[in-house]
Amino acid sequence: MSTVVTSQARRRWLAVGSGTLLLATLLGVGPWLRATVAVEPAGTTPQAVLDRALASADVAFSATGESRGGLALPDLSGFGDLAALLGGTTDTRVWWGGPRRWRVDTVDALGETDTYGQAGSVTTWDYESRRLVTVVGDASARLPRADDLLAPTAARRLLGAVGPGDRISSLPARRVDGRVTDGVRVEPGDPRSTVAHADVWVDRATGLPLRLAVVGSGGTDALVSELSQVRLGQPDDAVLTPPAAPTARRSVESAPDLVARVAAASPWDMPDRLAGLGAVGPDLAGAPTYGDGLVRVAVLPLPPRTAEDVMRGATSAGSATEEVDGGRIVRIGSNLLNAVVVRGADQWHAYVVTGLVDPALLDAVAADLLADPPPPTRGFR
Amino acid sequence: MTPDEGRAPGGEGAVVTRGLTKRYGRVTAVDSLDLDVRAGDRYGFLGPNGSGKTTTVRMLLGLVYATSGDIEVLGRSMPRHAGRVLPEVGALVEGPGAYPHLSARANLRLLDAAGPPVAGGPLADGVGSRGSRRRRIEAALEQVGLADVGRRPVRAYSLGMRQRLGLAAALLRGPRLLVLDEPTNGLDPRGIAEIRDLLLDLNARGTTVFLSSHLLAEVEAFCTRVGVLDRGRLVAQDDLDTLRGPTGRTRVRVDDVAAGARALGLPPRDTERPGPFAGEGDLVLDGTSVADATERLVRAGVRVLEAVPERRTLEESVLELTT
Amino acid sequence: MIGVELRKLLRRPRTWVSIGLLCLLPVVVAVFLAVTGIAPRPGQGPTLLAAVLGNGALYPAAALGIVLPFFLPIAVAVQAGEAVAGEAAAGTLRYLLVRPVGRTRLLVAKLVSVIAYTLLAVVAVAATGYVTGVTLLGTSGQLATTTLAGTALTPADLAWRTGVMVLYIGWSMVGVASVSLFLSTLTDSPLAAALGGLAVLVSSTVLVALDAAGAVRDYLPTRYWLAWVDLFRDPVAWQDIQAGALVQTGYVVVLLGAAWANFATRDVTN
Repeated sequence: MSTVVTSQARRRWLAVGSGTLLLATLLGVGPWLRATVAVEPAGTTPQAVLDRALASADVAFSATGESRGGLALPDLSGFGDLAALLGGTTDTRVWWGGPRRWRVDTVDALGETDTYGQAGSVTTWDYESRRLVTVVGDASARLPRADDLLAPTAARRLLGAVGPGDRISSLPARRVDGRVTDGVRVEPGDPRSTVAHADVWVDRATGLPLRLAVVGSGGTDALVSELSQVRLGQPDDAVLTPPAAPTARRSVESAPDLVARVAAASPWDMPDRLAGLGAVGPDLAGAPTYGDGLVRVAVLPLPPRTAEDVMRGATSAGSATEEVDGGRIVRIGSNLLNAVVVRGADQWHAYVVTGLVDPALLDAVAADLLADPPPPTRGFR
Repeated sequence: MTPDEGRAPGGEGAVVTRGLTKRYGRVTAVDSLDLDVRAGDRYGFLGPNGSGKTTTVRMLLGLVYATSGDIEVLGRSMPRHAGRVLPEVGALVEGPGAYPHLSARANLRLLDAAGPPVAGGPLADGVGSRGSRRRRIEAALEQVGLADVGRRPVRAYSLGMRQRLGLAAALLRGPRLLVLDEPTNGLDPRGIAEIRDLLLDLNARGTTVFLSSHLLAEVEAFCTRVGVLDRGRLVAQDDLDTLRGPTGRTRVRVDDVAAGARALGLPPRDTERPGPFAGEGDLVLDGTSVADATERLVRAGVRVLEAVPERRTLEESVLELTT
Repeated sequence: MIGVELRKLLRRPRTWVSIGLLCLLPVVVAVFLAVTGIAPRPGQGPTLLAAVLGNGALYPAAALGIVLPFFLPIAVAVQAGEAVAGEAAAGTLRYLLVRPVGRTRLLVAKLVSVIAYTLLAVVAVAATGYVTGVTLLGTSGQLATTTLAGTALTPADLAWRTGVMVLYIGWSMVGVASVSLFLSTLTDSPLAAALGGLAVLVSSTVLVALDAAGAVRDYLPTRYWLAWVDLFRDPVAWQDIQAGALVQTGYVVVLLGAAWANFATRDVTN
């Protein structure tokens, strides 16, 4: 309905509308422009990019990180924040002075958990429980921590595992956090892997992997981890030093979690080959690992009582127990990460077998373990 | 009387509209209104409820924007020059409005401080708004009879007191033009008379009064010019005297109607057809002047109590115009 | 006009009643904490509340944390919803406009008044929090004042962090206010304007928690509300606080622009 001031009103709304539109466009298009405009194509081979990424552990930086895991894992007692870590969004703040001098804060609205890496020890400050825990020595095996999912750390671990059978290729260069990065795509050569491909974007200037995206064979993002607000340079020393809170409860331990304790006390002499896979050094979670390239299977021996707890937890989370030759197994499945809890009929042998591989391969490993139970290590019994 | 007489120097009208129209969707609330209020007028804007009076008043004040047409108030176009026109206008629109938790004085102080500094007008002293504020507030409260109202909050006021406060707010700046929408709402007869005297006094000192009302009696008792609005259209706009023009008939009141009728050669009273018999002792005569009638009655020995040329009442004119 | 609006604000009983009620809740919480000595488990309940027992200096921040999710937005939305619609409902809007007060000027004055109210409320809660914290909970208890990272906080540190927090929460609330202020120019019912503003907040809170809305999440008004917690980290994480301030500024600018465009040419029929 028009009035004598309609044209004025129209002008005003036009001004406000176009201003809003401009703002929205800037917000929408700005990041896209920043990510794509003026990026020179890569001048190096994917292998060179990969090598630079692997050599980037000493690049000092500060940043904020975000990792989104898409793995639906049941919440098992004793496995800490594993399900949340791999199945949700984790916000972190990172100060990296080198592999033996770093700090990663996991932050949320209620508090934070800070992990300080130092030469020979890792100290964790938990605001919620006001505990300051120092773990001395490097556990041979442990559960993943938030810092393991940081884009550079996770990417280096993944790229370090790439074997001759896996394919690597270049992705178009793009900007991540405003920095020009070269992309590398890794595809497992072995069809038994549940990873379809993993993409890593490596900072052209420093070699620092800034973004990692692991895509499962189902086609969904299984893990995306990215750094933002990256500032290069040595972080302040004060930031990297654990707090001296006078009221904190302090403790010093040698094993940070269940897995580390179990792995340290494993009574079995594990075989050199399982289901056709050769043993490699302790890896991702530190447990005895079999396989090559991106196909890796970790075998974690469990004490009988823990095994019973884990099995109960898994079945109550909806998995079925299956009787097999020589024992029982419970399969815990997600689109990317699979695990089998194995319990021997003798009630002594029990394991968790896990890996980013096809469940059939895990079944085969389980069958091997049950068919030929490993002997006790010397010193036990 | 030429149309320019009575206007302020410069020859401006106080309120002039041309083709003023307001539509709400399909409803036309005000339809090509050509108002002509001259400076110094006591203008009565008359019309039944819902005829578009309030919408018109709101358009004059720049609260509601016209669909089409021009408005000139005090010689300047509205709403474009609202900032220069409105300081010289005092208004009471659709009942008073005040902050209920504050006293009358506090309300007036806030209202006065909200506006621009005092510019001119008959009551303004040109000292600047802050310096003269207290004095102007007291004067306005005095004028409307609220001087001794004290510190009570407006919440505790009667409807009549609120109405007076609204008038005081309109008078605060000594306006050249008062636009009043139903100003006597809620006032008792004495209050109405007081307010009427006040407005007459202000008008005598040069303030143009635009009074919108649905009360015929109020307009008839106060106004010099009348505009009649009916369903959004201006059906008449003229001097009150013209609207109440003589009918050409003569009305006489006698102590003996039957004798009077005989003396004037009228047929005797007939209950079926009243004819010239109006009321108890009144005769209405067609074609007989006041002088003739009195002469004939006096000669016949009938005592004449009253003899006047008959005038239409405003009510009759309005009913005639609006039906 | 701004002065007039501020005087109106300060002389209005409702202003003080609402601020008093806002301050009451943290006092009640403090009394219970002091009497029972039972602090919520860390990580549960309002942020920082766990840390205040025996350490009143942190209580201003905890007090704001208590009123932030609910009471503060309600108070601010009601106040802002009143701005224009309240004048319309009281019948005073038309008299202000014919005084005359320019419509844009009126809007600016209303905005300033709402901002003043917001700051007044936030500062009052913080001040009440400090007084009750120090008197009821004491300053020397079993817990030292620390950041979330466990490092010690000096009183000066705590003071400036609390100051910035007051400003940040204040600005977040101005974002809330701008929604209600805009609605207040659309309707003549102050209640509708206030409830409309709250409806926007509730929707935003729901969407922020929804992963499927990830694409727009960072632009929602309540996305960075809790970022004030970052002030109590060590080192202070400014990123979200800056982003939050910018998002609120965006909403304030756009909504006030819309309020201006609407109000300046709208028919005032009440």
